[in-house]
Amino acid sequence: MFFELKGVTVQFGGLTAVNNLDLAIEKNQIFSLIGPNGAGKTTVLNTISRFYRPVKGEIRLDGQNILSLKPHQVVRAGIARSFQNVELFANMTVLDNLKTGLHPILRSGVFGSSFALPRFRREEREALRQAEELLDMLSLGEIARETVKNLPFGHQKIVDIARALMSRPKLLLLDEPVAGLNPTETEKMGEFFQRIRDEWGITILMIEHDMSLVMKISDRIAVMDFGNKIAEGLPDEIQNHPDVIEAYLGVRDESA
Amino acid sequence: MIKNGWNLYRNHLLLTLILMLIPAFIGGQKHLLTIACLVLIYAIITMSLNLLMGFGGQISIGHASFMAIGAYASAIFTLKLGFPFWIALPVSGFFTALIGFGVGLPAVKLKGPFLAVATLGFGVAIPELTMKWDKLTGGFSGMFPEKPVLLGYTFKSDLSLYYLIAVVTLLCTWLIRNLINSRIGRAFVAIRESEVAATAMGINVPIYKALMFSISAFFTGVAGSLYAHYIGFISPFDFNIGISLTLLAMVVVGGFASIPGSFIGALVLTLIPEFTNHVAGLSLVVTGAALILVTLFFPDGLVSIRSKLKDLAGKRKVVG
Repeated sequence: MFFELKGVTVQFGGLTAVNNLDLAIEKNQIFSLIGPNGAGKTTVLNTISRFYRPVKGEIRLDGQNILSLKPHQVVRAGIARSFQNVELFANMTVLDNLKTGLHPILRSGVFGSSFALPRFRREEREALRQAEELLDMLSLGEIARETVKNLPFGHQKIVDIARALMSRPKLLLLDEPVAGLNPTETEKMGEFFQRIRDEWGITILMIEHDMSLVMKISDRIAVMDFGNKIAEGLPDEIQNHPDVIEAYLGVRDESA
Repeated sequence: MIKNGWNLYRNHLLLTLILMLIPAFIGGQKHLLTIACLVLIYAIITMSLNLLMGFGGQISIGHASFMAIGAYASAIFTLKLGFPFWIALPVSGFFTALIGFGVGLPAVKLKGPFLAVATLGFGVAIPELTMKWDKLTGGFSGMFPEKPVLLGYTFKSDLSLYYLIAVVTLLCTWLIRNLINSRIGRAFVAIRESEVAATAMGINVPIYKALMFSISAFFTGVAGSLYAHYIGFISPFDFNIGISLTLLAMVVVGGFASIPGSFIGALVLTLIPEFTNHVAGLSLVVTGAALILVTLFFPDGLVSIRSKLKDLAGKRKVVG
């Protein structure tokens, strides 16, 4: 299996946020994790990012044990992420945010950088090229030199995802990537996710509340409620699953 | 990058031109040349403190202690170990960097006010240490480092000393600028902006914080070495906590995270005591007033005046 969680349990004090969770994600899938607020979805993502330590369980990517890594080593192992409420470097330009996403790949050290040695210059040119290419792909080319904090939230959301993509991860974790985007932007993002899955071979684990997007682009869906996985399957199976309807879709506003 | 790169070179060229021409403007006034030398030495320190505070979001209340370590290291290397000046200058920088790394390690765990207090302790301890360890440092009576010698040439005249300091300043400015625009500099700013996101980008936050202190200490140590050999006399009083606070004020007055701001801050706060020292205590009052006025009207430092004027001009156009 490409990426798997086995029996992962996360507790805060006495509260069990994630209970004995098993997830298995195949390569080149868009795997969605859905569930009502407080179900523990973001906790799962934060555990994969090594911000939280599970009390038991295993997390493996391509056979490599993720739990032995420090948080800053996770991206080098091939797992990048976006954040629910965007965690951008607000006073940096869009380009610099994206270039920071290349941190694990760039090699120049203190000496080479401060003396602007040829390798450093080459690296910086290449970093700029990659960042601009990605921005053009997301039709954000014209805001490349804007300071991030001056951008509308929708653009910040996309920049947050773009930054995560800079390191060309094997697995991309997305925490509510289209929350706050309008329907047109949402549709474009959905197409973009499918494109990076198909063209770049990136596997995506996504938390999302926008059901039309989830049902449209997901290859597989797991549903969580109160820290437990209550269902897993193809989009059609999930839509008609009685437990899911009861726990999640049943209490949802139909217009959403 | 092409635009950025050109801007970088243009700014550096401009700075080089200004520094090279200053003696011509000053003419033969020895006193003003001395001030110019001190401004440049403090500008190096302000830049390196700005690297730490403005770019990296950390705080150091006791930065004059790094200057002291650089100055005393250079004095000891040349006087007691017989190092030539041109070796002692970078070596005292590296020595200070080593100490800086050690001081930076607690910064990994300490934040905001706690880090401020820890570095304050460092700022008090080092002058005390140089006072008490008189076998090595001469204690109260200080040390007398010799004038810099390079390839058999002794920098004795004020003009030659000025140009030596100017060249070192330009070199330090160039290095710091490159660093800020590199992967390392972006990591520093990333840590200031969001440690969580920085970690998610693969930045080893604890190591980079210590590195930040270390690099800042390096340049401050080099400036300390320059200071020692330029003045020709150092004592614990040259690096007391009052100097540390002045360095802090230079960063605030000039502008956070700005290289030109660092020069402006160093200039203003070196000039204030020079022009107010005929009345005892006046320089403190003026410095305090300047700090309050600047933080009130130019919270981004004096360097923001230009963009503010631009805004004003822009507004007028719209109104007119």
